[in-house]
Amino acid sequence: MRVAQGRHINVDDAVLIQRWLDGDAAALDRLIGKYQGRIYNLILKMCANPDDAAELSQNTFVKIIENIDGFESRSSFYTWAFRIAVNLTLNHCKRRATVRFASLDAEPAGGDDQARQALAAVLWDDKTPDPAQVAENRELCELIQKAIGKLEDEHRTVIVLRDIEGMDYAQIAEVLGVELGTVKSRLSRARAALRQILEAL
Amino acid sequence: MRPEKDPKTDELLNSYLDGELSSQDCAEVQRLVSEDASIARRLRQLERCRILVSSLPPAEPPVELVSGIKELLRSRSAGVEGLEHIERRRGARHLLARQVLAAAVMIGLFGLMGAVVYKIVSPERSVSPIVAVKPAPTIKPEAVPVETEKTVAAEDETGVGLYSLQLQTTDFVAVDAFVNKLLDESSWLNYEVTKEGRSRSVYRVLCSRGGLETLVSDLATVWSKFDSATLVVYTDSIGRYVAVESVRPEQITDIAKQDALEGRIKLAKDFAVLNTIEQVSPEGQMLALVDRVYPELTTIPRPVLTSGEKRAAPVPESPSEWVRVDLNIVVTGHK
Repeated sequence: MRVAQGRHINVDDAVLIQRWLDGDAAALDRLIGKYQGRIYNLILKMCANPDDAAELSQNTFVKIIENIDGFESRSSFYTWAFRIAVNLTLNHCKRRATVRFASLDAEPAGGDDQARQALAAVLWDDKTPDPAQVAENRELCELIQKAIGKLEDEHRTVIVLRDIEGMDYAQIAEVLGVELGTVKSRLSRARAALRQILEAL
Repeated sequence: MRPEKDPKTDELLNSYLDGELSSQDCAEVQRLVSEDASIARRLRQLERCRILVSSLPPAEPPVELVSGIKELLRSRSAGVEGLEHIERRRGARHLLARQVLAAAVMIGLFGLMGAVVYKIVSPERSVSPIVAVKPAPTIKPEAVPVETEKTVAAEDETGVGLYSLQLQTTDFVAVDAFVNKLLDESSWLNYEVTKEGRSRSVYRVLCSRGGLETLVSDLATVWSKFDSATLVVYTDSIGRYVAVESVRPEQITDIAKQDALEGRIKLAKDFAVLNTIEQVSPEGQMLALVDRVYPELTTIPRPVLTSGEKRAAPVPESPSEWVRVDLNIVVTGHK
């Protein structure tokens, strides 16, 4: 289980931002270095295309940099930056109309039987799955990613923010600009939908 | 109970899994799970689903991500700078035109202000514009018991008014004839005339202050014929004087009434300023303002027309009050 890390970053973020605004270019490098992996992964899980994810990550950081003067420290830099990333990615997904998974489109037929069996075992056995074993099973991961990709945009977003990025409900509400209750109901519906998609696989 | 079909239960179970419930709600969920096998099964399903997603390994961002960000920033910055450069060039042209225009306006204003200030601060000039071109003649001092052999502006003495009244007119013949006749009929003064060509006459007049007042009041009847009238009040320094342009008859007599040279000079300067401001200000406004504030400066009884009447001689002044006035009247016709 992942632990939400956002709250532990804010103090350093404020210092880095201030240094950067004071003309310290190295502070910007550190800020980018700190978040590039997480923002790239968030976007990749949402759009499922590495090239698009790289481009959207770049655009996210550029937008962050261009708008840093407008950043209000009332919210955390962490949620503010992720809000930019989520909005850019959702707009991108809308333009694409449907999310396609390049890796799964090229998936050879019948090549993931083992993965499907593994998935079925995870879904139906009473035994709690070992996350490490799941992560090592590349085919199984691809099936999970495919299932995520089949979710509606808002369901996929909330699943990624909670289960991949590890945000708590309050942070998700801040990133999405919705009420806490909306996060709860949306996440519940998203997991139910994901379960159905996984079972269908 | 079918938990799969009960969204509220799912919400509760998901919140429980995510650690978002209070301890009281957690206890309630644990009680439900222990009492209802279907809820317990649903909880396990949701948990497995959550574990599957969170088990996905993170992808490494491309190594060129940072450099791509910086390159993107540079290109955008260059684009903005390019636009700014174009805007700057475009703005520079407008700015230059505006600066030139502003400079021209400022020069004009400074010129105007300079003229006004010059009139105010330094109306005394080092070069006499118009003086009698030849020594004044000897005049029989019947009414003017003073020495007469002197050149204008060459010397002065306290109590002697030394003036030059320069009149320009387009109707030179009529005006000159009028002045000549006027002086001829003024028995209380002495004068000598020098004709310079067909459009310039210089009258050297010697009289008292009272005589000057009478003379000026008579001249006032044809004042409208003068295109310009300038009174030059000479100081006791050779070649220095105060010129009162657009002078009015009453101003001349007011100046002449001053006993001391300093008083005449000061009043002449005041009139010079007043008349200059009046000329550059909107028509009549300044004069009207001065009239309201200092009526004594601009208002004197208008002279009475004397045409066809026996002109009365000025009231004789007592010897102690008698002040000689040395006046050049220069009548010039426009070409």
